[in-house]
Amino acid sequence: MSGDKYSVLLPTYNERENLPLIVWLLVKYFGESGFNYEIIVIDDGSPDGTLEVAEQLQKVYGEDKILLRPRAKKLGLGTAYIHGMKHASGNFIIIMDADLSHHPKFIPEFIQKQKEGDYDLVSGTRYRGNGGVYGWDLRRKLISRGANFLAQVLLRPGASDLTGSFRLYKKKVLESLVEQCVSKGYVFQMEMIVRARQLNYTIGEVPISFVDRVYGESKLGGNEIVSYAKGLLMLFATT
Amino acid sequence: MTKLLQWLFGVSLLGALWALVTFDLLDLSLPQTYREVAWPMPFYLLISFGCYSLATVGYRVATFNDCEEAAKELQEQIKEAKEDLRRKDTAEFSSCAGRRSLVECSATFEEICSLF
Repeated sequence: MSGDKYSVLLPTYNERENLPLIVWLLVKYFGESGFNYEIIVIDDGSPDGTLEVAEQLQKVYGEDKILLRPRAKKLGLGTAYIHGMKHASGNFIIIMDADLSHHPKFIPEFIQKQKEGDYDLVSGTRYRGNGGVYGWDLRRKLISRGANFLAQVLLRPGASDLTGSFRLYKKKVLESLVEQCVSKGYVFQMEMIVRARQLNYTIGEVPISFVDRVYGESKLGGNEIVSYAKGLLMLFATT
Repeated sequence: MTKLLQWLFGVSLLGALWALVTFDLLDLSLPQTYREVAWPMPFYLLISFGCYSLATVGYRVATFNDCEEAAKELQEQIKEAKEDLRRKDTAEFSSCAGRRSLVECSATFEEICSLF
């Protein structure tokens, strides 16, 4: 414990329904583990009133636990992290999705892993150990594994899950990485790992389960695949 | 050195070696068998890599864990969370009649949960 504090960055866009639930789960698991924490909600002007919900959660859980760093409109994930980190008082940052695909129960495991090896970053992996996914059909799994294999061959990154976005970083490490990364979407998360490798940061892994409940609404289309390939080639050629 | 340069370097090196042996560029007078084996090597390596890739990706897709337990657990915890928030919410806002409750916001969750 010894003065470690964990800031959870939650970029949100139209998460009015999920936000209370993810916060409740975070409070539950952090409470049980005894670690010091804060939750920073970075809402990009959600039209569904996510920010209102966040304000109500502040009243329930306290302004020291729930911080709001809203933005006027939908901007990139990288800038969301930078924006969120500015007033983060923790020395560790946890990034995760706010749509309940990432489960806070893994956070104590991340923290444990980090302490084990004093890792600069700990990445949640769906591909190793008992990590896995719920809600994906064969096509989706094939694309996921195929894309990951390609990235492993080309980039040899030393981490099994490159596009995952459930991670724990030392604050200084995240700050230095976000400055350097230029990509968007899946490629952004890949670039973070690749650049971390370049800078000789140590990476630990924890198997996680990813419960995809939006897959039915937003299938992985040709556009995403093309932009992933482009991003991969960019990283291949520049790192 | 970027990954691209590493690959180019590696491929050039192997390519040079292959050409050396196959076309006897340095007049080393290697036995014919060496040249016969070396000649189709690039093709064999490509095919081998292709097979390895298919086998690896196939294996990984087949052994991709399906987290049924995790999905069920999440569904239960969602119910628990909603109950708890309902209690906390009412306690906090009993005096603020105009505010929407947190749980109203999660109303459409029933719809999503029923998909499981």
